[in-house]
Amino acid sequence: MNTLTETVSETKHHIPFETIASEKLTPVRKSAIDTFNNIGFPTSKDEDWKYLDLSPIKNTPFNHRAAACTNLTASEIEKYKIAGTDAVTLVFVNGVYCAELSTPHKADTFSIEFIETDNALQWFGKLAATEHQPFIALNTAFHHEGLFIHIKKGMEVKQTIHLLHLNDARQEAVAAHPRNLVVAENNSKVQIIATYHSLNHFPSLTNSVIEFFVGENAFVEYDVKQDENEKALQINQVYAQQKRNSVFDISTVTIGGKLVRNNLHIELAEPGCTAHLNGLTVAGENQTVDNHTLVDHASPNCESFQLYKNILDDDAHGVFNGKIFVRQDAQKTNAFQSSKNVLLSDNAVMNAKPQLEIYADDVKCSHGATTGQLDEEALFYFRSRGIGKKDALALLNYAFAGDVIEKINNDAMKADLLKQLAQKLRTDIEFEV
Amino acid sequence: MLSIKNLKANIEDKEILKGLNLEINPGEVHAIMGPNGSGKSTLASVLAGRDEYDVTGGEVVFKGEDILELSPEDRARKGIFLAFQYPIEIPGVSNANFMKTAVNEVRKSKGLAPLDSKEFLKLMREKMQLVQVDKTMTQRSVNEGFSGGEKKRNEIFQMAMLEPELGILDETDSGLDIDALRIVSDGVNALRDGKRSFIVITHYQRLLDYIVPDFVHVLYKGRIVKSGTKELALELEEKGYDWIKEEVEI
Repeated sequence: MNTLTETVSETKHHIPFETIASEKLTPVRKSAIDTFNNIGFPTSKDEDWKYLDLSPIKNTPFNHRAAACTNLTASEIEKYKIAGTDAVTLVFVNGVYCAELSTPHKADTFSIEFIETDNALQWFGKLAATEHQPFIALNTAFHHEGLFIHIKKGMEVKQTIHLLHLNDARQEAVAAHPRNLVVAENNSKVQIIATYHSLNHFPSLTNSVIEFFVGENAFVEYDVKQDENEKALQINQVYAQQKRNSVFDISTVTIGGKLVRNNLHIELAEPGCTAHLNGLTVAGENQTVDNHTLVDHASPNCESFQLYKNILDDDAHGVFNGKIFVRQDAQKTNAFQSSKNVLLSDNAVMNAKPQLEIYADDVKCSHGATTGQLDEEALFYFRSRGIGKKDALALLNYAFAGDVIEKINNDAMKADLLKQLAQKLRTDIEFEV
Repeated sequence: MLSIKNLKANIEDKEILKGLNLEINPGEVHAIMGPNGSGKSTLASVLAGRDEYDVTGGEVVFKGEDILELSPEDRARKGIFLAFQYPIEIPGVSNANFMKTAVNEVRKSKGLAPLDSKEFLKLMREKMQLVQVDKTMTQRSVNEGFSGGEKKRNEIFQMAMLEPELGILDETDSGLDIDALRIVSDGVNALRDGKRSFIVITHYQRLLDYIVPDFVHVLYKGRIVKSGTKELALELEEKGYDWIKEEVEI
């Protein structure tokens, strides 16, 4: 077998492919590499990627097989945990599951095993197809020791499951390909959170893929915090397929990272499903955060609600591209989408683009996008009460952004995000009042 | 306490205040009445420091200092409070958080230690009674979904919390029914302590039955054209503004 430097001709990446052990997935990995070599990295001519400059990803000589777990200790991981939960914390360093840093997990309500098992492989890749998706192809080729989380039928998982992703790029430029899979059987309930962090002396790339299969009447909440630092690049792909009367709620909060691209693809496959998609980006300096969503109403009587907000300062660049697809059979669809953005500097840029494709005739769909400066009237109101301009701005931004975080059901995650938001916006809010 | 001399102000190059003079001593209540477009709300906005207005002449001296160059927050910290005609809704910020931030900012400017949560709650409970503000109102987002009456009560509640030396009420009576008007007026009257002064801007004499002014001024075309005592308000109520306009035009 060739090394990746030979097979993936377009990249300067180095990965000795033969070190990836799984035999079961070898054909899948090889096929993914072929796919990648056929399509290559997206270019600015590609409509779905036109706002992103991917050259930092293309040109950095990443090591895709950096040491997992490195020499990190449990105490170094501690600060990334969410206070106030007895969460099952599953730690991934450079994309690879580290048992020694993770919470031991034995439960009647769910099971966790590696993704390269027969149980997992009947689901693996069924939603996140590699065709036309170079980053999914790369992830499919190079993921290593991701997890399959299986929520059992009729069970409610009381503990939060926390997927804690840390890229350790202190020694070299590292690319991680976390790959996880969640199957929530019929009538089950689970709250999962994912947080992304990085340690950088060198650049890092997180190329994450997760697939959710949400069974009938199941409830799955997935809350994501992207908090990597200024040398970190991230492509984050979330796929979900919902069965009858299920609920899938996802919130994506992006506060860190030089370049972040989120692709959300939700298929409302059977009648009676509900999906909530919430997104918040607070970015400054030269950060770029691009949220692409696709909600596929494939069945009647489903509802989807999208609320995406950006607060952009300095030279930050935000993108929201929200596509709602209502198929011919999907009568009685309710689909709503709202993108609200605040620019705090003259150099910040927001591109918001709603896309509705509706083939059914009995539907309620709406979309709206607003981008503006901060509300001067509100600012004056605060100042007329003795609150200085800077504090007034911070409080107003906090309120604007907090609106998204308030939609999160997981109380510990909500509190964590509000606290971090307050720090980021430099407000001194007393939470207990 | 407040001395306004020959004040001139524009909005978008249109002159609204055309040389306004007004002297207010501690403890006095001055009502300012006048027909629509005479400049009443402009005066309130200019005193509070709203950006959109350009002051083109004159001076406003408050407690011995010309305040026209001060930011809105510095004026508030010095003791000027504007009760808005149209209070702004601020989703996501609770009334209590808003007031705690404001009260502590004002205290900080006076070199006082910030109130802790317990002290703040005590102060808030005390002031809430003044204008019949209940606990749910303090926990709700600032003015969000408040009725017209609730918004105006909230303005007076904020004034009570911040204890200014000069309160400016910009058409606080507009949109109030008689019960709400009484509550709001009682709140204002409770804050009259012989030292605190008020400018009460209104269209209608009705409010002045409740908040009885020491002086009544008629503002017309950007100037105060007539001043008197509370009886002037009754005369205006009875005769309208035409006779004043005629007096001025002559």
